[in-house]
Amino acid sequence: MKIKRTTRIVQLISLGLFFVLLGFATYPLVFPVPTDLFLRLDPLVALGTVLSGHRLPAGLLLCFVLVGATLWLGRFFCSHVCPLGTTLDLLDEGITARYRSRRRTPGGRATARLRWKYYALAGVLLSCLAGTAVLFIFDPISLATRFYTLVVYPVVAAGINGFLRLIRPILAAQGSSLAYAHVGPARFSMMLLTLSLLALLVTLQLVERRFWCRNLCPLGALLALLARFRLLGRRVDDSCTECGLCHQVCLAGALTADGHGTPAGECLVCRTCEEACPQGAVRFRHSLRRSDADERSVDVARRGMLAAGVGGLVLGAMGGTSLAEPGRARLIRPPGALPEDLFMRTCIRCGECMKACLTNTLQPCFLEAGWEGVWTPRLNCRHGGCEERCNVCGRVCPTRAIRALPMEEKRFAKIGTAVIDRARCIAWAQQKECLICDEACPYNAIDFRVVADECGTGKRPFVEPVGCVGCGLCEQKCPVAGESAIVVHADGEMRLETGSYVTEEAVRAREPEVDANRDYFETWNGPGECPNPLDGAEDLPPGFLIEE
Amino acid sequence: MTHRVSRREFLKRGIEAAALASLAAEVGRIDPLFAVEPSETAARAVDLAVGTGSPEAALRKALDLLGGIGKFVKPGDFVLLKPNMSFGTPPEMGATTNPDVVRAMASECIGAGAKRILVADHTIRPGKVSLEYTGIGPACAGMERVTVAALNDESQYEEVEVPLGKALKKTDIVRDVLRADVLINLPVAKSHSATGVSFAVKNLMGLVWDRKVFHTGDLDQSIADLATLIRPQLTVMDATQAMVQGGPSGPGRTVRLDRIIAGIDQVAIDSYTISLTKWYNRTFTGSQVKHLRAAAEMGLGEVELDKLNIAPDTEISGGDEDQTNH
Repeated sequence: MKIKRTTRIVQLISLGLFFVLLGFATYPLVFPVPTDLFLRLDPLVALGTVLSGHRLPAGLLLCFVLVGATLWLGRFFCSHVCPLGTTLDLLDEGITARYRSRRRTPGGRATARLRWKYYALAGVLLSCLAGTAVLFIFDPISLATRFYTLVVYPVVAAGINGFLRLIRPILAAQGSSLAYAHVGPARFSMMLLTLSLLALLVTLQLVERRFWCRNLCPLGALLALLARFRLLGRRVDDSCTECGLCHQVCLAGALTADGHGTPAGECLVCRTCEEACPQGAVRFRHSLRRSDADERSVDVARRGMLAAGVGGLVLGAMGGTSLAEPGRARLIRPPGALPEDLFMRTCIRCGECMKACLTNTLQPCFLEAGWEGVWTPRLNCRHGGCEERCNVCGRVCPTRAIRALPMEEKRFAKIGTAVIDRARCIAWAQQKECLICDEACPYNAIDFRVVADECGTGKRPFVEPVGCVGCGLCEQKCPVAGESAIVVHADGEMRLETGSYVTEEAVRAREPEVDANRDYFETWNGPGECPNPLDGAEDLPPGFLIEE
Repeated sequence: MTHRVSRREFLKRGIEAAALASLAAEVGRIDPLFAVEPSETAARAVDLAVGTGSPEAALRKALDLLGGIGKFVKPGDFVLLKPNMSFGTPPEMGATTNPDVVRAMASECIGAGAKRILVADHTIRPGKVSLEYTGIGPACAGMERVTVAALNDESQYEEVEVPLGKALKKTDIVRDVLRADVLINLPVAKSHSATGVSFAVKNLMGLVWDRKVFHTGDLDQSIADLATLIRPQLTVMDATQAMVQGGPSGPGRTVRLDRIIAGIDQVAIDSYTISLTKWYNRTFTGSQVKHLRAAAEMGLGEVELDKLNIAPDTEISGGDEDQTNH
């Protein structure tokens, strides 16, 4: 049942490339390594983005390479390139194969299942058309990227760090700079749920190999549609004894029992049958001519298609009708994230931004953005603020749901505003000498003033809301245990589809203090100029001025 | 010269000596404590050496006045340099130690035959960012035997008792402080919103893992307590410029001072540095800085400038013109 050797080699090289590129999704980005190459090759990502986001970022045009290659070679991507397919194969050989029932599934039922993936494709595309992109969680490349980022990467990072600690005495003795190396921070919420999704796909392989790829994968369905027009076809010559060996080894499980034909588009072109055939009767050849057996298409039921389509549309229409965390007050999106509605329709939940995030602040949502926002990125500022000098999340985003901002723009892309809880702040409430928030702020947005109040007279932190970008470094560093005494709220966030984030006000607000005469220790009595002066206007209702 | 002591043994001795000194202080006689052996302190002619000019020249001159780098670094030593490279700001901002000073100090150590030099800090910002943007990483790149590292991983720290601590009883400090033969403190002169100023004594906080407890407790006393534990053999103050307001992270107003101040007594160096210019538009003395006064009261150094032997004797006139960074 082993896959053809050369196919396995290509699989491993491809998975290795996938890992390397994912590894390069980090700070600093090495230009021009295409860290999101696999996602950009995926025509389902491009098609879905067009349908839901009504846009096609130039990078996604790369999918035409895969479209062209599939028209030529058929679904070779599924057997050779797809990181999820290879992962499932390896896990099958390692785990599920030995527990699989030897009793063969009746061929008819297995063939009947093949059509499910077309329903899945219809559901995904129509939900996208209806404006909800949540079903991208089932795009195989998104799923693989998400799994390796959220589940595998933290474990690997912990392993590397543990190993480095172990050999540190040796490295230190040699004066190696590796003695101070450290991977991460890399810790993620939603690990269990992300793992469960993959575990489900692995468990399904107890029924048959590649259950997901054969029966459920929406990208597989899309590629299968294209593969109907492939040039490279499977040919069986007259020396065939109809021994059925190829039928047994078929990765797609789609060969007819006599070994002569595959339903159109179902062959994964792993070419194991070619190698397995004792007669050498199976060949893959370029031809425009199709055999009769090839032409037998998967019997897609009109009723099933209709149900899937309507289901997708209804699901799509349901998006945006649920109540997210009230007012989304604490839902802080990455800098450069498109306006929320468009962002939700463009983000494919792949987790590439979370892999690249320097401070590990980008975490997957559970229900904070509503059910339809599951696995979309949000900042967890208490865990780590957004680094001022880093803009990698936007640069690795395949669909540009997060804009690729130049550094100067990113420094002004306001994602929220820090608010001090004076009742919990130890400088305000306990007269401590703290001001770590001021120390942590890269934007000159926290200042101290001497205040005399019921707690005493002392230096107290103040947030300058115009200069504050909402990075949350203050929230991360605040020494108050538990929830921070300075917290970033979504208030003031800038969600621009196009154009510049830099405002004159913000530039001015961040300029250093130049007053050589200011008394920094004078007790502060509130702002000098009140924007709503009441002087002499006590008799007037709000909004009115005394006539000059 | 007397025999060499290991860092651990040295710490132990330092603690014992500090205990004696605080005893001495109680009976009314404050002895400045230095982190060198008694024979050297007895023979010392200069408490503080001030060099002027370019960072390299100023550093060289200050070290020469102290008797040369060879007094502090011996061939084969593992030297730990502790600059301030905590932020992601360029050197002109004045929030971090000038990379030219760090580089010059590292080459002095190489010249003295150091086996290995570690330039390290527990940075507030991610290590990659701090190393790159402060310019300290690039400045030391390619120098043989020199490693620059941000120690932002807890496993690099070891819990130690602070026997003389009044507010700080135990803390986790950089393990290499215990391993190094020589610790050289390379602070930058800047203002600090919580502690007034951040000079040499305050710079030692960059060798601690959990700094939050400093702030939730008694910050000034904790800083002084830490100074009873970690005693650099040499301190070299980067006073090429001073961020006189807006510290510790900036941006703030900077003033050119063009000085490098070297010495053994950190409290004295800090006290001298504060006298060089106005801070927050006011004139202060060292004993007005809470953590310096606390350190002096614990016998960790001399805060009164008139009790110090500062070289050269002649008052150096530095350009005090203001310049502001944008």
